[in-house]
Amino acid sequence: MLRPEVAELFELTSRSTYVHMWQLGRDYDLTRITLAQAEELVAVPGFDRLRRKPVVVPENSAGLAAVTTRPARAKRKKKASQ
Amino acid sequence: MATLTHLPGPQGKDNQPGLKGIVYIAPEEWFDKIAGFKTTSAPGDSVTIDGSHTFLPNPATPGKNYGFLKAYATQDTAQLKIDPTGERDGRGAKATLEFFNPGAGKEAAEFGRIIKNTTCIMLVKTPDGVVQQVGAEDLGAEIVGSYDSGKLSGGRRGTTFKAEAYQNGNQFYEGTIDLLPV
Repeated sequence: MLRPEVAELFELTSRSTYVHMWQLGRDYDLTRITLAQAEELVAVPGFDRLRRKPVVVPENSAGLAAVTTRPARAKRKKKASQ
Repeated sequence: MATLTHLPGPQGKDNQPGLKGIVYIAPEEWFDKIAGFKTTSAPGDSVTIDGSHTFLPNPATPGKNYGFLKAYATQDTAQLKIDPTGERDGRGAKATLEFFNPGAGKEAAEFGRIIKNTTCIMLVKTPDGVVQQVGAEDLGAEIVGSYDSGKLSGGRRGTTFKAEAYQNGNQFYEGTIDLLPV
């Protein structure tokens, strides 16, 4: 439904694809938006008809694929036992 | 329960009256969910709709949902008023929204014929871009149209639509406005 270059990074969350964004002062057909417009829309607080796809991390050397939407948290250092 | 706060003056900010020239209208039966008020207690939350309304699938456009219709309103004809109802110890309010749609086309005639038999949620925008809602779930706005052909010597041809809804004051909508697919 989205343009191919937009669909690579974003996905629709609803079958409502024609919206008026009062915050931006115009109508958008989500099936025709450009990548720049998609970035502009997802930056609007509360807009949830489009979302960024989770980042897929390529397989690592251990052969496991990880899917994440946020940076990995650093491990806590364990205190040396007394 | 919301708390009362100070009521400041304009403080140098614009306070332009009137409404913008598009009125958003959707029959209640088109909605999947009509959002209610926020239940948090920050100033203004008790009169602000919580999130976005969502719509049901539209059989006329497979794969797409219903949405708000856009109705053109001739400039300087749209007006929203909210007046008190009831009496001491039992007060409420009634919203009245009026706008003029020009022309004598079949679309307006059909709209007027159907819309009087249903209740709606309506959205309007102030000149500074604030979205206000008329009607709520199970208390939708009733809309009736009055057509005037005008005269050869003057007047204005078109339909004045008047909507009424019982609601406890101004309602602010900050969600996404889904539109009926074109």
